Amino acid sequence: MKIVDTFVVVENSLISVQYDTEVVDELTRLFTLWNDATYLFDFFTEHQNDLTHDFWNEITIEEAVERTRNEAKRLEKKLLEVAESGNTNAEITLSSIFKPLSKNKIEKELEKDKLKGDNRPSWLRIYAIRIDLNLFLITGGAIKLTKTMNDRTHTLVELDKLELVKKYIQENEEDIFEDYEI
Amino acid sequence: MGTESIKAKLIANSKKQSQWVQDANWRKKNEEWLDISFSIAVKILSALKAQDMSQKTLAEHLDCSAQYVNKLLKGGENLQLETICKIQTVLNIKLITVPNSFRYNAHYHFDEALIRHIFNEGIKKDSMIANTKSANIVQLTPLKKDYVEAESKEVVVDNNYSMAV
Repeated sequence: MKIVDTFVVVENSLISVQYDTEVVDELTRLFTLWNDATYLFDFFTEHQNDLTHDFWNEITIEEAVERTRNEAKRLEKKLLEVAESGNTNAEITLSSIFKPLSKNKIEKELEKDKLKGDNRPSWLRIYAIRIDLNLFLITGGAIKLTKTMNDRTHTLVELDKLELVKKYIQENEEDIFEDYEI
Repeated sequence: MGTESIKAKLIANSKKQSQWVQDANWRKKNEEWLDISFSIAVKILSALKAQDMSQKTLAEHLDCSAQYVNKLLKGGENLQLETICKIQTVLNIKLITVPNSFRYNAHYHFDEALIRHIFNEGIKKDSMIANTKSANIVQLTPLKKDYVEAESKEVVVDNNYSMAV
């Protein structure tokens, strides 16, 4: 997997990565999938065993699909709202809604972060690298049904993407895209 | 490399603009019918699974392309009522219901007995005043003659009447 481009989502606050395996940037891809009933139905059918965990209160596939889209709807509105307001209001910035990926790992620079949905508990995740108080680079996202990201292939890939993008930023040069692959 | 330098390079090297903002605004603008379309898609997907029916078979029953079925099952299609009814028949499921129709203007409380009495008596004047048992005055103006004649056997009230109590 390579980074082919980065796209401005909201001027001076949100940027989204596009990989060579996709036709759109990550933020566009994620919200397209989270609004796609067939994709969600297939996803939860494949991960039905994870849904039977007590943590998710034995939710059905149909309920999980509806719940995901409803939560994605709210998350989409919130992200757009905060990204825009954060440029002028220092109290409500992207840093106030994104949290460090690991609780005990707060980094000074280029922190790996996550944004969760508003359900409690929530399985929606958007992953990003924090550049500044109100500037984040979106690396991907996932429906995380297990305790750690190491437990499932699709969340492990997101960890790799976070690392890939972080390296890309650290060594950002004009022709850097060709140099980073997973 | 400092934060300002990273910011400057990232912004300068990024393309303008992500499709997401446009998509998000479209979803927001069309939220009401998208909600219904999505829920219908979920019900169809669930029925297909329960009945072990493929999307291709459903397309054949509906006399449409598999591509169209694939599209509507994503939950973002502005479906025609005809399509919805066909799917209901094929899968033997209920996808939409319409609330019972109501006969009275919901904004007002009508005295059904009084109105029935008025129509049964065949009062066909352009305006009228009637006393109720509780001495409230009901004034209906103007009254469309042809409407009253056509509907004289039914208690039907619509916005052609203005009413003061």
